[in-house]
Amino acid sequence: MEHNRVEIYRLLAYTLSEPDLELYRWLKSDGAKAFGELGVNLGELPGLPELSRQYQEYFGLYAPKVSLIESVYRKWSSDPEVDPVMANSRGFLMSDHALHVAALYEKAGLSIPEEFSGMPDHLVLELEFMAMLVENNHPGQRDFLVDHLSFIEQVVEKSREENIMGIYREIVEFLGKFYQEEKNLLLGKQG
Amino acid sequence: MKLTRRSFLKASAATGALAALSGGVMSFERWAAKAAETGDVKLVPSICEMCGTKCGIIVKVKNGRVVKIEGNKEHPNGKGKICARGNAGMKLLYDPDRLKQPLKKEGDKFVPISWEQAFKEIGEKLKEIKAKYGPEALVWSTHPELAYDYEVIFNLAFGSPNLTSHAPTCYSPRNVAYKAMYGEVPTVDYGNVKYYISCGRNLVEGINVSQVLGIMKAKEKGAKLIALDPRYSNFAALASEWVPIRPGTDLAFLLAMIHLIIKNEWYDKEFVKNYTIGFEEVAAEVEKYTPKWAEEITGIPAATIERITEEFAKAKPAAVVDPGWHVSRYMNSTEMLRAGAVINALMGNLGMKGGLKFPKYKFTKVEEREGLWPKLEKPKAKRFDGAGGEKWPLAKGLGMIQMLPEHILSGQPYPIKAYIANHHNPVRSAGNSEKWIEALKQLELVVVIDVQMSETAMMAHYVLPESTYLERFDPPQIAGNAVALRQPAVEPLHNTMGVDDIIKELAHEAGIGQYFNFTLEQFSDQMLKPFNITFKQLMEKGVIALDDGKTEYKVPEIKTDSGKIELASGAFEKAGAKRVPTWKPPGVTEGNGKLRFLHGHTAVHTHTSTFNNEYLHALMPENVLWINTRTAEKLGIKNGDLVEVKSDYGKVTIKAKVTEAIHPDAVYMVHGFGGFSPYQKKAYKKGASTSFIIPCHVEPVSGAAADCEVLVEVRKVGGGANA
Repeated sequence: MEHNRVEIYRLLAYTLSEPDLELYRWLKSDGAKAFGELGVNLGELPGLPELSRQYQEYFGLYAPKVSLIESVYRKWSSDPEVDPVMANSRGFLMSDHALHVAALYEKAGLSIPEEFSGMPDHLVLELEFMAMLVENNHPGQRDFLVDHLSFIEQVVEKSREENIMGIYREIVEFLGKFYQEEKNLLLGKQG
Repeated sequence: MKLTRRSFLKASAATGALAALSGGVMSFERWAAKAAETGDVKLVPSICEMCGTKCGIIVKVKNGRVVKIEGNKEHPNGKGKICARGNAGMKLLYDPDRLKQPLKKEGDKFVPISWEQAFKEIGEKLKEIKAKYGPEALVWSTHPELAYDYEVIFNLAFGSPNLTSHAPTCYSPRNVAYKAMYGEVPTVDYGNVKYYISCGRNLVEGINVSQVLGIMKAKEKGAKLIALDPRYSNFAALASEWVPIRPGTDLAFLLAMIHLIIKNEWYDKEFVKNYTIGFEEVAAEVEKYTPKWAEEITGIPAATIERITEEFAKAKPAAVVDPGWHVSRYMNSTEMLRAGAVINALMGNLGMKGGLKFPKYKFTKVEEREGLWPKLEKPKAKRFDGAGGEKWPLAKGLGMIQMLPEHILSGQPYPIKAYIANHHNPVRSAGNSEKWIEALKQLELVVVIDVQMSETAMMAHYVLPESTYLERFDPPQIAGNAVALRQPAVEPLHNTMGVDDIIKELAHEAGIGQYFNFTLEQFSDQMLKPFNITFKQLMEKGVIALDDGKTEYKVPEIKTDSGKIELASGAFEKAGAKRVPTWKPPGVTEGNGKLRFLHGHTAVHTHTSTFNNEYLHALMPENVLWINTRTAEKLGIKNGDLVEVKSDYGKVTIKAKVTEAIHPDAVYMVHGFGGFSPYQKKAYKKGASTSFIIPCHVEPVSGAAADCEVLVEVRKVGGGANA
C-alpha cells in the first residue's frame, strides 16, 4: 500500500470513534476523499442521526453487536492470583491486555480521555497509539500489532457475522485489510 | 490525504516519552509475567451488594484491579462465606454492559451528558414541579440500602412524604404483624432451633448466608425442619418433612395449630402470663379451627397437623414458626404472619435459645439526629398511597409502591409528576409491567439511579450511573453485634458516582443544598458516636465488634404500648381487622381450568438485578414453568413443551417442566427472568418475566402486593425437546 501508514491509523481511529457533527462534516468531504484515495468507496453517507444510531447499534458502549474493546476478546488474566473463574473468562473489561496498554500510555506520558475511562484498550486509542509508534519509527510496533491489534481479526469476523451494513462495513473491511498488510509488513520486516 | 488533527490520547506531560517504551515493556507477555510477579496486593474489607443481605467480604486488589472476593470471617453476616452471587461480583464490576456515564433520553435514544448538566436539568425540573404542583408531586422509590438515610433527608427537605421502599413486594406482612404484636421484627436463632416450621420460606434459595449456615448447623444437631410449601423446593428437599399444602392456606394450618396448642395446654403458661396480653380472645377465636376443618382447606390430613403440632410444642422454647422474608403472597398473608406470631408467643420462644430474637444494636433514626442539617419538618401533604393514614395505619414506613401506576394514571389523590427510582426496578418487580410503562410515560420527570440499564431505567428521562459496591463508600452498617463499612476496593472504572454524592448534588440543584453540607465521614461519625467508634477506625478495620458475641438468653424489652406481646391487637382493630388472627380465604380460587400462579427466588440470582451477570447466567440462564404431572397430562403438555401462561393482566411463553414436585392446582416460575432491556445483552429475553402475569393490587391492612393472588390458564403452543 503506497500510503502514509501513520495517516491511515489516524484515519481509522477517527472514523471508528463516536460520530459527532465535526466528524460527520469531515466524513462528507475530506473523509470520503481520504478513503477514496485508499480505494474505499464509503457509499452514500446517511444523516448524522442515522449514522449515530448505526454506530451505537454496532459499536456503542452498551450491548453493541461488535465490541471495539480488546479486553472483551481476551482471556481476562494469566496471573495465578486471580480468581480462576474470572481469570479464564472472556467478555470483560480491564483484562491483562488493558492493564498493559494503560501501562504503556502512562509510561509514554499519555492520558486516557474520560469517555474511554475503564477502556484503555479501546480500538480507537490503540490505533492512535500505533500511529504514534509508527510516526516515531518505534521498534515496539511489531509487538503492539501482534500483542494487541491482532484482535482486529475478531472484530472483522464478528462484524461479518453480525452483518453490519453501510459505511461501517466498508471501514471495518478496510481495517481488516490494512491490518493484514501491516502484519505482512512488520512480521516480514522484523519477525 | 487530508486528515483532521483531532486526537484522543493526550500528552499529560511535555515529553516525547515514547522513548521510555524500551526494553521488555512493549512485549505483553514479558510485561504480564512481571506484573503478576511484582504487583502490589492489598486486601480491602468491605460489604457485598450482590443481594440485600450485606455479607462481609475481603476484596483482593492487585495492580489496581479486583482479582478475588472472599468472605470476611470477622463479619457476622456470612462469617467468612459468600454465595454464588457474592462470588460473581467481579463480573458486575468489569461488565462491559454496565452504565458508564450519565444519560439523557432524547427522542427514543439515550445520549451521554455531563454530571453537571444532569444535576442542573433535574434540579431545575424538580423546582418547577414543586412550584407548580407541590413537593408531594415527587415519588421516590428505593430498595433501601446503606445510603437510605440520605434519601430520607432529601425527601423531607424537599417536602415530599412519598419516599417508599420495595417492602410491599417483599416483607410488609411480616413487619406489620410483628411490629404491631411484638413492637419489633425478630429473626430466628437458627443455629439452635430444635423444631422449625417454614411457611414458604425457602432458606436455601432465598439466601441469607448466615441463616443458611445456622439452619444447617441446627439440622446437623438433629433439629426437625418442616416445609409448608405447595412446591417441593430445595428447602423442602433439605427439610425433614415436606407438607405439600394447598397454596394460600398456611393460615388455616397455623390456626389449627393454635387450636391444638391451647386445647391441649401445650403452651408456655408462665410466658403467656408474664409477657402476653389477649390470650383469652385468641382462645375463643380458635375454638372453631379444628384440624379437621383445616384439613378441608389445606388438603393436609388432620392427623398430620396434630402430629406436627404435638412434636413442635414438645420442642419449646426452641420451636419456631419462621417469620419469613418474602411473605407478600396472598390476601391473607398478614393474618398468616399474625397466627405464626401467636404460635411463637405460645411457645415462649422470644429471647430463648433456638427461638426468636430481636436485633441487639441499631443506629438512631436519621430524623432524630441533629447538628449536621437544619431541622427536618414532617411534610404537609399525606402520602399518595395513604400508607400511615387513616385507612392504612399499619403500612406506615412500608408504603404501597405497586399502586403507583394507578395513582399516576388517575391523578388521585393529587397529581404525581416526578419519579425517582434508586436501586429499584419496579417495572419488573412490582407487577403489571404494561401498566407501569403506561404510567411512567405520563410523568414530566423520571430519574433512575442504578449500575445497569434496568427496564425502569429504559423509561427514564435521565439515568444516573451509580458506582458499584466495589468502587464506593456507603454509610456504616450494623450487622449482628458489629458495625461494618462498605468501602471502595478500586477507583470507579467509569464516570460514575456513589449514591450519597448523587443525592447531595441533586439536592444542591433542587434548592435544598443546605441539608447536605456535610461529608460522608461527618455523617458516619455521627451515626457511630453512640458506639465510640469513628469512620476512620472503621475504614482501617472494616468490621468492629461491639461486644464479645456471647448471647445472653432472656426475654428482651417488648416495645408495644402494653409492654407485652399483643396476641389481641388494638392496632389491628384500628386498621380494620379483627383483634386476633382469624381465618380469611385467599383472594382467588383455583378451578375451571385456572391454576394459581406462584413464583419465587433462586439461590443464584437476585430480584431482577443479576441476570446479565455472565457467571450467574451460566449457572441458570432461563426459567421454566413447573406444572404438576396430572395437570399437564390433562392439558396435553409434555416436559419441555413451549406453553403460554395467561392471566387477566398479560401472558408469557415459557418451557414447561412437568413434575410431581408441585401442587396440582398451582404452577411456578422463578422470578427475575425475561428481561427486556436490550442494554443487558445476556439477560435480554431469556426466559419469561412474572411481571407480565402479576397484577398491581393490594392486601388489606398491610398494603402488601399479594403477588401470588393471580390465576392463569396454561396451554401448549409448541413442542419441546421431549415432545
